[in-house]
Amino acid sequence: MNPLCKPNEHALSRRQWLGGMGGAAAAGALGGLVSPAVGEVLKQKEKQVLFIWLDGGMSQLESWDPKPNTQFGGPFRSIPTKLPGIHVSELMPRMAKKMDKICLVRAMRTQDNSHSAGVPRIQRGDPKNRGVIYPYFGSAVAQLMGPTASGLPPYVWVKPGSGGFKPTDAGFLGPKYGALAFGDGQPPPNFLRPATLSPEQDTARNELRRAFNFNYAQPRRKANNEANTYVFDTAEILLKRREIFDTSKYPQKEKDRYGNHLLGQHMLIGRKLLEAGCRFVKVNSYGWDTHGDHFNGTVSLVNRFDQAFAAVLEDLEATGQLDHTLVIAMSEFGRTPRINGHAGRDHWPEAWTIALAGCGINAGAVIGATNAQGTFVKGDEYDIGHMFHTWFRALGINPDAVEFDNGGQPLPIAHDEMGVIPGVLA
Amino acid sequence: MADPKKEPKQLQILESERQLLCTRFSPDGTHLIAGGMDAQVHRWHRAEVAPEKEGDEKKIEWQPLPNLAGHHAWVGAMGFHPKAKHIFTGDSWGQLRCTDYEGQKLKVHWSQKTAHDGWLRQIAVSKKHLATVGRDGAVRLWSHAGKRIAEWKGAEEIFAVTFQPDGQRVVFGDAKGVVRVWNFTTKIIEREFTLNEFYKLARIQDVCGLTRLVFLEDGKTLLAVGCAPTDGGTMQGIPTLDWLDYATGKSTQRYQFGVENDVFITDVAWHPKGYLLCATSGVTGRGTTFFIRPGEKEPFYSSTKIANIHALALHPDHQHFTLTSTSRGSNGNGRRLDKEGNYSGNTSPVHVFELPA
Repeated sequence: MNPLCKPNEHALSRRQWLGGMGGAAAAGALGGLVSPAVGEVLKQKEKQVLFIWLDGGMSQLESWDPKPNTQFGGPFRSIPTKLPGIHVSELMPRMAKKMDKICLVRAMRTQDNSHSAGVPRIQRGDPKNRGVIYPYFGSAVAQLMGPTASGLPPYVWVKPGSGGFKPTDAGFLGPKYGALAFGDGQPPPNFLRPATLSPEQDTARNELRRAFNFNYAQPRRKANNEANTYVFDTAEILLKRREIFDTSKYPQKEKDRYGNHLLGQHMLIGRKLLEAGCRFVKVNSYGWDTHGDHFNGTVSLVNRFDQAFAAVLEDLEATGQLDHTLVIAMSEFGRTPRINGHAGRDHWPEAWTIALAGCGINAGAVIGATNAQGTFVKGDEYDIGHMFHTWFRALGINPDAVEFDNGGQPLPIAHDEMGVIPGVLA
Repeated sequence: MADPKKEPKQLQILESERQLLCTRFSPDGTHLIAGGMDAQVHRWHRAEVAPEKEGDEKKIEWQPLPNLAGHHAWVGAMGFHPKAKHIFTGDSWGQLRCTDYEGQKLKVHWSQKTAHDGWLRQIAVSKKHLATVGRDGAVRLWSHAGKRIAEWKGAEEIFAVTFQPDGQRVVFGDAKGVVRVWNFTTKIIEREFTLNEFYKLARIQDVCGLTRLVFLEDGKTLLAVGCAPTDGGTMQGIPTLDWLDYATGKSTQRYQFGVENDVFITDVAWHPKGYLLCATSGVTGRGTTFFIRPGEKEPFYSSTKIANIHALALHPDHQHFTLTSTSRGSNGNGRRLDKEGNYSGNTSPVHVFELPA
């Protein structure tokens, strides 16, 4: 007989938890924060993606799939959510109240337990090996859907650390479809025209640059020059929206709601980029590889993710943008149930969770399950290939009909032996 | 190489089925008590065992007793009643309990299921009171009978607590390394000082290094124990001891042991002969036991034989101590099954030592 009591006996009651919080969400919502630039994109209702990447591996047990009072469950309680019978970790109080807006897939089982192989493999959808390097999801969307009517770069990346153009994400699609990264949430250092340069001088300088580029490109690979020109041109359009990066002008209340930390502020910039019309916005957080002192570290990590994620969902919903934006929050894997000697959890691709929301997603669904101990998936398992099929379908792209064209070689856009995860799509 | 005559002698290894978080000897020296990740309070009692050969001295062994149930999450906080044979235990869901620790039929004297909202981090006991701190940012003062007497609440999680030696003030330290002196009678924070080295913001992670606050014998010195963090994620940092002049809060001596991989001094005990026993837990496979005298620049003893030590307990006879460690090969990515094909957890062997004469 298990001497431990059942988790739900000690979890906060749903009513207790939700009580008193009902008005808070609505009160905190956007209200007047929508910038004028949003209007055009919202009217178009073009499909967009917000891809939140928690680099290093978020623990499923301290977030979406808690197993309190079990051998590997860790120290935290679970709390009830807006969905009856569904609990999340006590470290996610805000998302607990938004569970009806998202879909959890708790039955992910993927192939890699290392970062170096896992990150690209996951973000490229782990297709069958055909001797080519597949594009990251952002690059794939940029190629398959192109920029929105805004003309802004279709694949942008808000991240801590260095920025610049990241062509390697694009794989065989060619560098044009790489990511334009805003390191530390800022545009590239030479993005802004110096004050000493007049608009006329700037135009003349750009004409000269184009002429030089043309001559330079003649004997060289077409794709690289195309990428250079493309990025420069789209960046010029972005220049007109440079207010996005000046967070000092954002209302303090808005910044507070997202959280005065890197992830919060980057999520806020990410939302502004979506509003402005970027097709695919990746927001990155580092430092989730908690092999040591995991439980203390997780308190602030998960709490800050919870805050930023809840805020962005709230705002996307308030503007109506959630209806046409696919939101994905994930890592390259989960973390081991086993707790190591450094009070850490290691890498665990065997049973973990991905959170989805927005266009085409069955909000309020919890798909798949892990066993009572949280060690392995119980029932059907899903790999990242299934997830790519599901994401493409949510964006209105049929992976069974649409193919990449790799210089005349047709290639499937998602693993050709996998399909959509049942129940995820609305 | 260490002088074997000065090496602590290992007497016994006590096995546990699950990982343990804290270990202490009862004040009368008859019991060894540990709090576990299995929501249990583990017990061993001191027993005299007949000698193997006639003429040999009787042997002392620590023998297991049934666990105490009743908690529902990690039991990481512990303290003993100053007179009765009762133990106070706290868990990570906020429950505080007082039970017998001796005998087979153990009475639960009282229980506060929500002593804290979430993780109850530490318990300190004085002659009249006990103080608890937790993730909810609260410090709570209780009578030994479990009646809540006073409370202070702040914004940060509180990790460490102790009583001033006269029992009139509670001294506690939070996640950001802020130490406060609380007069629970007037309910006023009388002093506070910040130990910056015990905190770092790494990306979006608060990396907190303070594990314990300990008054040394004279009461004039407050020892801050833990880690000076250098990075989050897989936490890195330098094991740190900070001797503070209690009157001013200023550091009089800081000792940093080892390298970034050594991370935490997890536990300490003051030996009446004038030195500190310290245990560290670093990245998996790293851990050191060292003894150091105040004012000296280096430990006079150190050993890396036992890794990832999460608790150190000094017996009231001051001749024996235990180190609660982690089973070997505790880490590893991905699916790693045992010989029977099971996914098993780690355990915490408790090593019993005798100090050299």
